[in-house]
Amino acid sequence: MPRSPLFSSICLAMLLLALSQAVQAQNQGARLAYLVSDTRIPFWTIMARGIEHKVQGLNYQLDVYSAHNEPRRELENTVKALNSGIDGLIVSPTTSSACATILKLAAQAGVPVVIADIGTDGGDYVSYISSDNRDGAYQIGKVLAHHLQKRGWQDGRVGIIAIPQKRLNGQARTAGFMQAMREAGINGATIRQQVDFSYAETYRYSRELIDLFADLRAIWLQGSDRYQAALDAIRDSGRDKEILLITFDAEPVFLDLIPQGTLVGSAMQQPYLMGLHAVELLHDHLGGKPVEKHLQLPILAISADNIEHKLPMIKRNVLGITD
Amino acid sequence: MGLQAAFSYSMTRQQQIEELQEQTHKTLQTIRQNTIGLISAYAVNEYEQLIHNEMELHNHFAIVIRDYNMGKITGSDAYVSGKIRDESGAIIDFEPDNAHHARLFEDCFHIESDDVLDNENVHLGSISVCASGRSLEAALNDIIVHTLINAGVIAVLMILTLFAFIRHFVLRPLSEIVNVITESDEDGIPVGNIPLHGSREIFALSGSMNNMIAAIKRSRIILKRQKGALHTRRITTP
Repeated sequence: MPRSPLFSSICLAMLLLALSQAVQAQNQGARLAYLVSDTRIPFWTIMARGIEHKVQGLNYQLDVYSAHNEPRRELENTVKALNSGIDGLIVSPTTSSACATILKLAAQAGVPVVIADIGTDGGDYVSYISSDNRDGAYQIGKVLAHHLQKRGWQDGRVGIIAIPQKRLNGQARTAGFMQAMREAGINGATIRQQVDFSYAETYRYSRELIDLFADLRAIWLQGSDRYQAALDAIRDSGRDKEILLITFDAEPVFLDLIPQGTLVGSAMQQPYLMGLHAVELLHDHLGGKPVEKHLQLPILAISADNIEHKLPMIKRNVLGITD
Repeated sequence: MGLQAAFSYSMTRQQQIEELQEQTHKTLQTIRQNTIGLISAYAVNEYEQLIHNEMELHNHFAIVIRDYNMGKITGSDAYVSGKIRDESGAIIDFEPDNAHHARLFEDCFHIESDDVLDNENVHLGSISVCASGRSLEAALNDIIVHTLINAGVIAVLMILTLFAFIRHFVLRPLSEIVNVITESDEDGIPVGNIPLHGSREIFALSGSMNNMIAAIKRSRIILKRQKGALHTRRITTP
């Protein structure tokens, strides 16, 4: 006797529910820890939120340890977490060098590790999740080139205020952006590297670029949190109608500044999504499934042209707003 | 050659030991100086990298650091880490709980240790640099091998020279004497003279033989002449 589609659907739903409950029961009591460099920085808070969200869904217990950007505290947190009998560790280290030590300690304790951003100078790990900085910078470079060409400013120069170029992500960002500029035939001005990431430093660098190059048409800030310093410098130079500002990463206020045209756009990493993937990878590994060794997540190149369309994705994956 | 080899062996051994001790001391001071800040900053990976570089540069057998700051964090007297060479010579992590590593470290040919102190003379840790006898053994083995090769080459050269000498000064003149003696007239008397060259003895022999051949020839001529006269007298006498 043929069974009705309704009966089959109910059976399938019950099977899936049973499987889900079996997985949750299996994870019941299993513990994970997240070692994060500094939860005072929104990017890491958002990533932690993604991790917490996914952990709840899979019924793990989670402890979050913030190092407040202090190497000593980071190591103390590592030892504390490893001694607490965790089953897996997610790390967003202060530096890639510190990560190598964390991995060594974790290996001695037999705890599997997933690295969420920054990377490591050595050691064994389950998986490393990062953003595709080069492509993200390339895409946002193309957005800027388009805007400069639209205004007929393609003969002008573009200055860069960069994160330290000894960092691999800094090098990748600069390389991707310069590729887009080269392809568009737009000249670079010069590059200034941030040291203390202060408002004063970004303001001073912006003014130097503006004063040095009379034909400066845009500043690319390789970060997001000091956008106001660059905006103030452009305004104070009296050339706010002549110089565009484009950034990397995101602040909630960008959702207004980009549609208004105050910012041309921004290349936005997806920390919340990274957090979700970090837990998924660790969960798969603990479940005996093979996982990708290096997972690169795309960076969203956001401008006024696509912000409305991408808004739900930006809110959730970039800013971690889930309500 | 044996004396020279023994002298070279002894000198090289002494020189290698002095160089090894000097290099161990230099490495220890370099690492000690550079790790003060790194231990203070809990930069474990950085000083491990520094150790790795020093071992690659100077072929040390092992370098171990006892870090008291990290020890406080890990709940032990000291956090012990470092690098050691495995059987193939590759640099690997030193494992303080590994009995094999510990034994290798204790059996070092030469070991030098020093404390790491900060500016206020607070003990941050200690460093031990272990130099292997492998490089010394290799240098001494090199000497033995080179001495053997030199001895072999010299022996071959001497044999070839001796052979050439004998051939030039003895065999060739003897061969020429044989040739001259072989070329004889119907009476079996050599027709030519033996060339006068070669060693002094061969020269004297050749000269004597030439004199002898000449005497035979003269005697033969006299004999022939006397025989002819006798024959003529017999015909003319009725």
